[in-house]
Amino acid sequence: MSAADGTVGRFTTDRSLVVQTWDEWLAAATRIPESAAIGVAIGTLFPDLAERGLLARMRRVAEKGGVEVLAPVLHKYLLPCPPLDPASRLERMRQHVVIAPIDDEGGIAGITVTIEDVTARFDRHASADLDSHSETTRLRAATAIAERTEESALLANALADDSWRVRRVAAEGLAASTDGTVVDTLLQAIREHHQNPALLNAAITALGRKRHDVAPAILPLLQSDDADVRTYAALALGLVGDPRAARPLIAALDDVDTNVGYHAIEALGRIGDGEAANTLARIAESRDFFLAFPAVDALAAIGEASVAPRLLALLDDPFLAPATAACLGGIGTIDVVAPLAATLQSADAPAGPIAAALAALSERLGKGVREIVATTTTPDLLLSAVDGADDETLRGLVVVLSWFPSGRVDIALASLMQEAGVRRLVADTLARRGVRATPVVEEMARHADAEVRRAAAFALGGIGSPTSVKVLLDILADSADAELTTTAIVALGAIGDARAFTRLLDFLDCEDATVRQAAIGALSSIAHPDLEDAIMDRFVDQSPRVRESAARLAGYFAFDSCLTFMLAAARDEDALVRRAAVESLSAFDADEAWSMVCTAVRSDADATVRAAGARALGVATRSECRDMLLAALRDSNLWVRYFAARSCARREEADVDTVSALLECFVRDRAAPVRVAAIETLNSLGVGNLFEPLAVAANDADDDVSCAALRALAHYPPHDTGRILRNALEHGGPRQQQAAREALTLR
Amino acid sequence: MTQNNSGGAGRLRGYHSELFALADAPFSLLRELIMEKTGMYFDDAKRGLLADKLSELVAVNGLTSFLDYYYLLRHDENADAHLNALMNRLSVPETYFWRQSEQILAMSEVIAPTHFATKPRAPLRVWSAACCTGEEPVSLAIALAEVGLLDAQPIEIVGTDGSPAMVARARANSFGPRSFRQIPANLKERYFEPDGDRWRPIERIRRAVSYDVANLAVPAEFAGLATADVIFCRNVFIYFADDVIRRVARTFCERMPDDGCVFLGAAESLTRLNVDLELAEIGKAFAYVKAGRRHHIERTNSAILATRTATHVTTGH
Ligand SMILES: C[S@@+](CC[C@H](N)C(=O)[O-])C[C@H]1O[C@@H](n2cnc3c(N)ncnc32)[C@H](O)[C@@H]1O
Repeated sequence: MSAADGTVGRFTTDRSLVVQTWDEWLAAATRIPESAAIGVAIGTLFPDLAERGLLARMRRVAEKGGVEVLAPVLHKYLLPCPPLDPASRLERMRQHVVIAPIDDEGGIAGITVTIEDVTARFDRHASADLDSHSETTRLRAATAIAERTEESALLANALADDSWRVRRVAAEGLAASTDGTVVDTLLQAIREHHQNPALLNAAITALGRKRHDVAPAILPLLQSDDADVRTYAALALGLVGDPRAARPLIAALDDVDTNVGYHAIEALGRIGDGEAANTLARIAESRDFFLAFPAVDALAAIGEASVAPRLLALLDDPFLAPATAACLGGIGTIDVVAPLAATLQSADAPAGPIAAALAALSERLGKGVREIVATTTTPDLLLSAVDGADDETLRGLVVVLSWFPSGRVDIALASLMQEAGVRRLVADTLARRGVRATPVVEEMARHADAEVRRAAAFALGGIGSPTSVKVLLDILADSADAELTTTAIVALGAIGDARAFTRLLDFLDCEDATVRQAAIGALSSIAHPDLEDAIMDRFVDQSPRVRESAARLAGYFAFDSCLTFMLAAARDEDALVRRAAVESLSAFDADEAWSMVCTAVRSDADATVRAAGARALGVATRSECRDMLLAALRDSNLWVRYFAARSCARREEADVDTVSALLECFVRDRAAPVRVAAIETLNSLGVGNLFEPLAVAANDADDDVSCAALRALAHYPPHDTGRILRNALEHGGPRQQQAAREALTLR
Repeated sequence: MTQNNSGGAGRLRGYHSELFALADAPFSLLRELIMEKTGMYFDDAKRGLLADKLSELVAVNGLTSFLDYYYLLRHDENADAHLNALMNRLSVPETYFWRQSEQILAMSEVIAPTHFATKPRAPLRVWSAACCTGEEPVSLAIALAEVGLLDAQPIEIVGTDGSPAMVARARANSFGPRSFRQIPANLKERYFEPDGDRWRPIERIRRAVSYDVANLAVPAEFAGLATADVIFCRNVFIYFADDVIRRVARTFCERMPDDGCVFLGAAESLTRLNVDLELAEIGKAFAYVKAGRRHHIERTNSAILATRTATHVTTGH
């Protein structure tokens, strides 16, 4: 940098900042001739220097020495003047400024200020647009700069933008920046601009994201004279979450300014340091209108159980009770259960929050909580809180109500099935209440809304009372909704009453596959004496769906009388029927059955039938079946190969042929699911020596394959796999990271 | 303060989970895949619901486990067909005519007149982005007919949905009584004709709306549509993961014209998602417009409406 290249100007002043020298370059740039400058205070020549805080910087150098550098990204310029290049898009020249003392024997004689014109550097960038009057333009510019991560230091300025959108982009850009100087720039911004809360906030956010060690830079701000700055510092320390800040923050709890105290409390909650618990409990006990509430919240976040008993007293305070109950739910031990439950005896206790807390305690501490609650108090207050409660509150109420064996609770719970947000929970709860709840639930099973009926049907199935068969059959008679039908059928199966038998047979022809599946399941659990005959009739039904269902049912029971039908079904014209028959034939464990399965695997034209056969072979013990399975590993259809590989795992036979066929699939198959199944099967068969191919597969382009390989590596010695797993943890996608974590824990 | 007060409600199984159990591993694989392919997100509390909905697809494909179904969805040569079936299965066909009618009227009584006043020759393009069985785009056509613009001005109304089954039902133009629960009786009389025991929009309305399949989880499928002047994207974000909503909204924002606007459902909001759209008051409704455009749009709307009212008054309307 030299004056000769025409981009640098220099002036000097005496100690009181009166200009002593003023060079030509400056005269040209500022249009102030040397004659007009010399002898005039610089602050008079440029009044805005004082406003922008720069006069003070010069004065500091003149008085205390040291060199100050003004980075153009933060200050833009020292002396306001237009760019020398008329083509520039910028309104003002950008200046890199060095302010240095002029040393004299007796001390400092004045300062020398060197100004370098760096406008061109900024002009090339979208950064020129950061000065635009239009928010949209500034936003676009900030976004463009943020995308070039090596240049994002330029965004420091935009941290002070009026628009929060621009500030957000700038903070995100700085956080992502690869430029090493960014951290310094941000720290400088915090120190110098702490009076600008928006900038401070954005800078702190950006630093927080960089996980840079910023607490030491922020801590001194807690001592500032300015209460706003102390507030921001407390806030920032909470965001940063550095435990070293706990002590200073505890000290800040006594700040004269309530706002500082408030943010210190929140910050301590975020940092989670147990040391603060005592002081926070004291603040909570003071019932200070502003501070007690956040203190209770912070205690919940810190999770220090020892202070819980002290909080019980706050439950009589209508403002603090809800937060206190929530806190107790989170941190309390079994000792707080009885006093907490006892508060439900008083009519003005906040039933919702207390119920939620008791539910949380029971979830954490186990069944003992219920007994204490049920013997300490009555459900009255909880029952009266149900009306108009939101879903979140209702959930707590339902859980706690269910601990009371009372008819009124049964009625209230049943009626809550009308609330979509807790319906499923209530259905489960009622199912567990047993027969006592049957009458009220049966009533809800006649409700006009299909979803309510469905929840009721589910609960009735769980209760399992034979009295409910009638209402469930009624549902089947008029339900137009496959999901409701399915639930009612499953419930009938769970009750297992013979009266449902005939009606259930009708559903074997239902279009919906889940309904058919449910009917098959229900019929098999009812196990009616007429079932065998009914199945045989259905093997010759017109409808392929009925024949398919017959094959599946016959498989459940392996009725000898059905074998011939099954063999015929395995040759049915409809693939759906063949598929079911082939799959179910394995249950018969007869020679003809197995040879039919093998035939299907070898030669059925439909791949889904061959795949079903491959699945069936998983339970076969005969050797011809093993050969057939190995042949299936080379089928042209990927799903046949996939299920064959899975079946090898079920057979648990690690003979040479099986292993080498599976290896072939693992290494050479084109289809990812086949490779995954092969890896998992080889693994479960305990085949070792696969380290090399697994190491390769761990980097496979397909996520399923790479994750299967990573998990399989858990079974190899750590010194071989450590590097691969660590690599996946550090550089893999979320799924690879998860798989690597699993492998490491498994190990 | 977020305490989990659910008392274990998060771990509830589906109503018929004994038919097929959805274990942890396949659940998280499936939900990620479903989010990627459809945008829909099933949090832990909805695991049972997801199992119930998918069990039929597992059964139909002759499978016995959700894990096998996951592989099928990802790797089968007919993955597209499986994805369509999935969309159809997960789609919640809950819609009706004149739903949140203040938004429909804001489009027909404020946006459309302003559009034709400021850009006289440009067609007004209206897109219903999750049109379900068609009630929404049909309502839009009716509203435009009501203000006399439907046949008088160039207007394009497109309804799309991610579920091919929904689009097929929309194209069938046949509506049952539940669809009419909100629309004023006189509109039903004037714009529908009987179709057996159901109802069909009259020819003029049917002609005005066209349908297509478009998946909001795939920006390329709807980027072209998002250049519409008005986007109705209602009651679909409630099912989406935040990241997907953000992506969709950003695509809207990039593609829509400067004075375009987006209507969302009553329970949906973009405010906490950091997208460059802001709420503007249009007629008696709220819509999202490009950040920074609210004042301009609100001012233009009211200026145009004022001149219209004035001419209406002077011409004795
Ligand atoms: C509840 S309906 C809303 C219908 C209408 N917009 C309304 O508000 O009345 C939701 C619709 O969103 C559709 N949907 C779900 N995911 C989608 C996606 N990724 N892309 C497009 N549509 C989707 C569903 O198929 C369903 O038709």
